[in-house]
Amino acid sequence: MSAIRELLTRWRGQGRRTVHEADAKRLLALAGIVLPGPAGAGPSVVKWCHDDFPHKSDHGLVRLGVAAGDVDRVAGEMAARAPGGTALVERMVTGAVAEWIVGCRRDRTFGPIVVTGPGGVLVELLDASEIRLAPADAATAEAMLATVRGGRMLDGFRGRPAGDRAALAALIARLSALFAAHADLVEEIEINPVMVLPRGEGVVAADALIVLR
Amino acid sequence: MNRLSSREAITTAFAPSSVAIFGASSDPKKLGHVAVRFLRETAFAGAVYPVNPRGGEIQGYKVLRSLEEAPGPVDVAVLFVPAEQAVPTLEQCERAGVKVAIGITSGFAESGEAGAAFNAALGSFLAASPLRLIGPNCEGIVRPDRNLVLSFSPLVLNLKPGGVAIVSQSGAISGMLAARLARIGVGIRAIVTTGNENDITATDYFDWLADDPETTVILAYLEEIRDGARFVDALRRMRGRKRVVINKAGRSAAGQRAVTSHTGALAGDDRVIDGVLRELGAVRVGDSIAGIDAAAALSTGKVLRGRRIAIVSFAGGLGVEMTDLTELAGLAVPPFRPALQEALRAHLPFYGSARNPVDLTGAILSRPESMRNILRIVADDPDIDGIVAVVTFAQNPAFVEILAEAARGTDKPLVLCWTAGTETTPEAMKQLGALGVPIFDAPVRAMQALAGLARAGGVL
Repeated sequence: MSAIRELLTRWRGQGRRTVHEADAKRLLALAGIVLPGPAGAGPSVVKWCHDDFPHKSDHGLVRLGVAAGDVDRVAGEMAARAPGGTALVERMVTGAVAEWIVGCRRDRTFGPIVVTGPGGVLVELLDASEIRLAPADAATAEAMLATVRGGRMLDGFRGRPAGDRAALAALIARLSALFAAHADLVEEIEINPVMVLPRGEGVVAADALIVLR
Repeated sequence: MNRLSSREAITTAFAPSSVAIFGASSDPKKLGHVAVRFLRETAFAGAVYPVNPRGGEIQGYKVLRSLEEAPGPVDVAVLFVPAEQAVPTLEQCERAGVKVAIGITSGFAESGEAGAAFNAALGSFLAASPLRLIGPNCEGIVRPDRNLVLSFSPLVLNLKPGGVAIVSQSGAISGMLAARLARIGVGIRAIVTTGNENDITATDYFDWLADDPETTVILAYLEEIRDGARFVDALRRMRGRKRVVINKAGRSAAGQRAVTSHTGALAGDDRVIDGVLRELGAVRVGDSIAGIDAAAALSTGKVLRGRRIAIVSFAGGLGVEMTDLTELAGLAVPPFRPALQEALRAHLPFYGSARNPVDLTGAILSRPESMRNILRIVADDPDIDGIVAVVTFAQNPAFVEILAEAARGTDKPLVLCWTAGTETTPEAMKQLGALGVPIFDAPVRAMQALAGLARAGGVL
């Protein structure tokens, strides 16, 4: 059994339904998806990850720009708010051209599908998405980016550089393949936001969520 | 148990050599009489066995008291009996070796608690029987090329055979689609209504039609897609070979599912249908009329390969309305190059417009040759992907030939918007239909035709 399947099976065995960000990212790392990585000496993002609190910022469980010396104190405060979770400390991802969402779920008619569109706060503002069957190959993913409303953000506008469309398409293809291979265990998997960096610099999964079947 | 596959069952239902009508009635008002009368009027070539315990004669056919009296094998049985008699009737069919039953009968899953018991009984019967069932709660099937009308709807009579197959989970909608396509001369390959789909589903028909060489376009009304994987497979097999237009109902019911993630919010059931149909190259339409317009346009075998539309209009106002609608649909009506405008001006009065939309003005009515020249010049222009000809009421028969020739003479779609309608210019309507040039009687319908051509061509 693959390491990915082993993790999913174990989590289900533990009765988990929502898998928090820190664990979701362990799985994404196994699938070769790029994560922010550790902060080092610079400012970091501190998140408190807990299955019962998937929407962390609503509960004060996300702090941006935390200095290295303050990390333990900030994490401690969060732990008091949501006991039983785990801290995730990552570097701040800067220089993104656009924030995107890539998610997969099972449709009751068509089975595994993949959805993508402008992410972060724009999910609710634009409510724009393009959907395909999963797994979707990179060419299909490129077509999704070409047709989705708001897709022009990836071309760079008002003097911004163009985003790394190819890397984003590759991520869509990879996540959709990962989901389709394990759709018997997973109800939904979502990366939001994906930080889309300038062309040639790739994409980074800034937040992630898994819902098990 | 010698049970036909769904493909074999559909093949049998489309070409029966003998048909039994259960619930056949001597009362001309009853559907069970109408169906028998249709078999008589369409001169169905096979054996017809009306069945009714009262016996007698209907429309010149001897009525059997039970199917056991049938002198030969029976391929297809059509049921007009009440729901409580459905299973006993099907049992009789099974004993007589009927291969496929068509349940017109209503009163099952669609009828709440009262129908639930009948539906459960039907389910148990089907699970253990070799008989295959179309419906129940459907309006039957039609094959114009075989004069096969196993239905009670007058809307499906006298259809021209052709390439458009109608698959509908609503009987009423199928009749409307067929009659309106027929009105503009579009030929019908088959009409299938699937009702409650207790056995044979719309997906089974898609699977069958995908391999049917005579089907060029499928126009479907669907409320629920069953067996999604096979549906996807059938559409993939048709891709690039046949055009599929789907009116999938339930758009307003989107977003009902409980949402735990943003993915759930962005990928509601209805949006999934949108995305998957787009991926499969099918044209999704929002209502029956838009479906008729798209299917009629696609029945010509052409699609739009680009977004640039030339509009050539008998009248300024109609040209402007057509232009607005075309651009709002996401297509373009670009001004012609100066050289092209120059070439067109030679065929226009000084007060006409050669810009796009082209305003031919009323002068065109007495100068049909100008129409021929203008359409040829526009169709030959490499910067134009499709043409809309807007005609008001041309009564000079030359226009029919000119428009049909212009449509045939180019690989680009030519959409004909003819506003006069059948009352004013009945002969022209009929001739154009016979020549395979469907007519769209208002700019909005021509726009829906363009949208269908554009979606099928992947440019919208």
